[in-house]
Amino acid sequence: MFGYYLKIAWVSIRKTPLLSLLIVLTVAVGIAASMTTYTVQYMMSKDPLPGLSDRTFQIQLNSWGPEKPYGYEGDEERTTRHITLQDAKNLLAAKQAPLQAAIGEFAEFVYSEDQSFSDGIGTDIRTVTIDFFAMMRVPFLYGTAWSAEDDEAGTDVTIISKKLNDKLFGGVNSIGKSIVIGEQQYRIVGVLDDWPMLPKFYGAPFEAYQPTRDVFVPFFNQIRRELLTRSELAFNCWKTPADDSIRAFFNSECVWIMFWVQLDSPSDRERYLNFIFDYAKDQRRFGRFLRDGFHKMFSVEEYLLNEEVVSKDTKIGVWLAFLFLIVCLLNCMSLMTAKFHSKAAEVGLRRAVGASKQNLFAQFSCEILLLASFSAVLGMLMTLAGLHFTKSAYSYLSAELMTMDVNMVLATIGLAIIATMAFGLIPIIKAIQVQPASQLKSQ
Amino acid sequence: MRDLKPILKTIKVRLMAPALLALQIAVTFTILVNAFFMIEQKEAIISKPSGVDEANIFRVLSNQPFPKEEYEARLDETIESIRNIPGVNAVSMLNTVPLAGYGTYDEVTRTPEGRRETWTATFLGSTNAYQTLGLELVAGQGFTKQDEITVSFEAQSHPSDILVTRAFAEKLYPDNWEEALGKTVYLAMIPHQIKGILAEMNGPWGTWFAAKISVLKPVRDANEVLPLVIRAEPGQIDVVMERVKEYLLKTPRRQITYLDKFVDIKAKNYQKESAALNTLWIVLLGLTFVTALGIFGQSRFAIMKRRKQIGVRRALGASQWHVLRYFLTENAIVTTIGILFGCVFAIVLNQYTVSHFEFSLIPAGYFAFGAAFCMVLGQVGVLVPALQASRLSPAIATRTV
Repeated sequence: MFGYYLKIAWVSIRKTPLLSLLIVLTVAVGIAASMTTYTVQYMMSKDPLPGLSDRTFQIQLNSWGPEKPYGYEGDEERTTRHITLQDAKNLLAAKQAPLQAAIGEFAEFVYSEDQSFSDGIGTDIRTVTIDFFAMMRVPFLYGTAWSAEDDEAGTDVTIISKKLNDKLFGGVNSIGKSIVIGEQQYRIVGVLDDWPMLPKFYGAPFEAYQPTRDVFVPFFNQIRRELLTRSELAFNCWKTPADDSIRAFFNSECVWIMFWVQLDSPSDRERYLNFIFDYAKDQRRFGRFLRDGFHKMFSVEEYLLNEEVVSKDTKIGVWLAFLFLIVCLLNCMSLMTAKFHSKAAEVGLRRAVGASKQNLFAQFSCEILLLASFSAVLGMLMTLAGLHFTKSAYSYLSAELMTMDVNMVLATIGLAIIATMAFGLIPIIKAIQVQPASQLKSQ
Repeated sequence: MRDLKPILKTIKVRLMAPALLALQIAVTFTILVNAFFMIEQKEAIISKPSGVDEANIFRVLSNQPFPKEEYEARLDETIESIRNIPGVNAVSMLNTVPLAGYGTYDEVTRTPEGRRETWTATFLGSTNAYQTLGLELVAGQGFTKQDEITVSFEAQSHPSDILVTRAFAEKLYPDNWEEALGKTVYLAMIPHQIKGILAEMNGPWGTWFAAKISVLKPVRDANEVLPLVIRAEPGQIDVVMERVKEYLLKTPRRQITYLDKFVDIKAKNYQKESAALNTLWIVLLGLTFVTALGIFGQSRFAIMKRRKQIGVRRALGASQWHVLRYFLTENAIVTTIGILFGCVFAIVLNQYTVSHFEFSLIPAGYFAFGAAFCMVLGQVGVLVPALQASRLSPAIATRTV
């Protein structure tokens, strides 16, 4: 029976090609608009560390001076995203979390050994302690993270991105070769694979959707070599350093380091927070942490919400696009009413020769299902085109945002079919109410 | 308006089609009003004056490949040589330029331990930096050579005199901004005197809440990094950029990290806003198209259903204009109902955006505009089918449909 209904549906669509095309096109446009914007938002708000994000925390210490707080959030005192080098060292040494990462940065010219200095590219370099790679589940194409000894000693080793490896070494395994950072040779110990983690929550909020940095070096290498680029660094001081030197800056109360920990389970949070409070109390012996402290831990999700990494524009855009879809569906509903209205004679005839209302309902549903399937396919193609357009318009965002995963593909197809069917319901019900007698008169 | 009664009767009897149309118009109206409002706001952000002589300014960020002790002397030498390049109007050292996306900011207080009045963007540059950028001084004086200090890594020593923007002065003295002149303010707890007030100077971040609040300090930063801002003679910017690049690269081991025009820097800073604008425009165009198409399709269908009645009316002496007027009026009534519902939806949505996204309330003007737009859209959509209907021959009445 289903096959027969589909056949009739196809005949009917062939009879009213323009109307059917309009229905399919309208729904497809609406689907494309809403799914394009929704995909971007969905990818933006994805869980960057599935299964781990509820036990990965950013640590915020209130090491600010006694005179006045760092700032306020409404009426509540708030502290900074960053911590001091002294605290980073102390927390690392305390080893109260299975994985802990201190994250810094500096900028320098980077080039390969056989390039001249002036071929170098000014690069923002990420400095991390070794646990970073395990904590963030960083994939390696060649090699591994540097050793624990290199991490502590701050050896001149580096891990580079796939992109930079392609550029400097033509994509071959470059482990053991070197790159020059500034004037210093760094031995390559690892090359990252594609690493589509989004959002990149471990850096500054505005970088969350930007491409991965090209060069990683040990955090303690930055400290040992005193590498710092003031103009490229986000830092805050409540007390000016002792003198102009980088050494003095490192030893000062200035905050500039991001600190993340990963615990065994979300329930460990309480324990770690207690440890931080005890640590702060203990530091008072040295005349530090003189504010009545509140220190904070933000899980990945809390941190992303707190920093508003998904922009309001994105969210409002999704709203508007879904409203637009409703307009398209309402329009489609009117067109379907028109389509079925012209079938009144057919309905009357079929009823007169014994078809029940249920039979007709099934028949017309098949017709709409067929139209909905066309809309789904076309809507899917248009969504992909829309994402392609978005990729070029939003070139400052990671291209990974504009890709659809299986969930999104299914959602697109499902939305197209369910929405079309739902909005087709009333036209169908109206169409099958025709009295057989009214159609059998004066034809 | 004799048509009014029969129209309302028809709408009541055949509720479904007009109700659908009205609903579609209501949602269209809601999107229109909100989207137009957002577009206006984004346009306002993008087209704000930066205070800079935009067309003739470019920046170049390079390095000083010399030993530390030569930094200062070499800095002066480089600036002097660039000033003598034909087509260069002015050149200054400046740590960053307006809208560059990176820079420094400080907390502003009235006393060392006082409450924070605001944040401000802080520019550090040569004494003539504001002239080079083409900024306008609206009160007080500019810098003299004596105001300048020279620093290396961290600005430990601070100049006493600064220039601030009018927005900065207004923030501290809302009643009369000129009072700020000569006053002492604390930036990051260090006292400075306001020597002059600039009309406009955009901070490095275009959409920052304190985008217009900026300070310019006379600080010569003799360092490995060499950030310069250059003003070319009108119309010569491309040539001058080439010449500057050529001169700089004469020095071995010299690197050029950035060499770009101010207009491009500005475009990049507002890239997000521009992209959002494009998306909004596309949604609006699609919406207009779909709704117009819908009105056209539906009126055509409604009129086809009533061919016989139209024939009867024509046979009884109604003119073509009567028939046309009837359908235009009908559409206007349905559109009006749609707009009324749309107003309610739009206000509800706006309330939601106000409470969730810190949006501002939409002014009434947008509602009026949206209503006019929907009305025109409806009349345009119905015009062709209505014209066709008015041309129906009265003879139809004599046939069976």
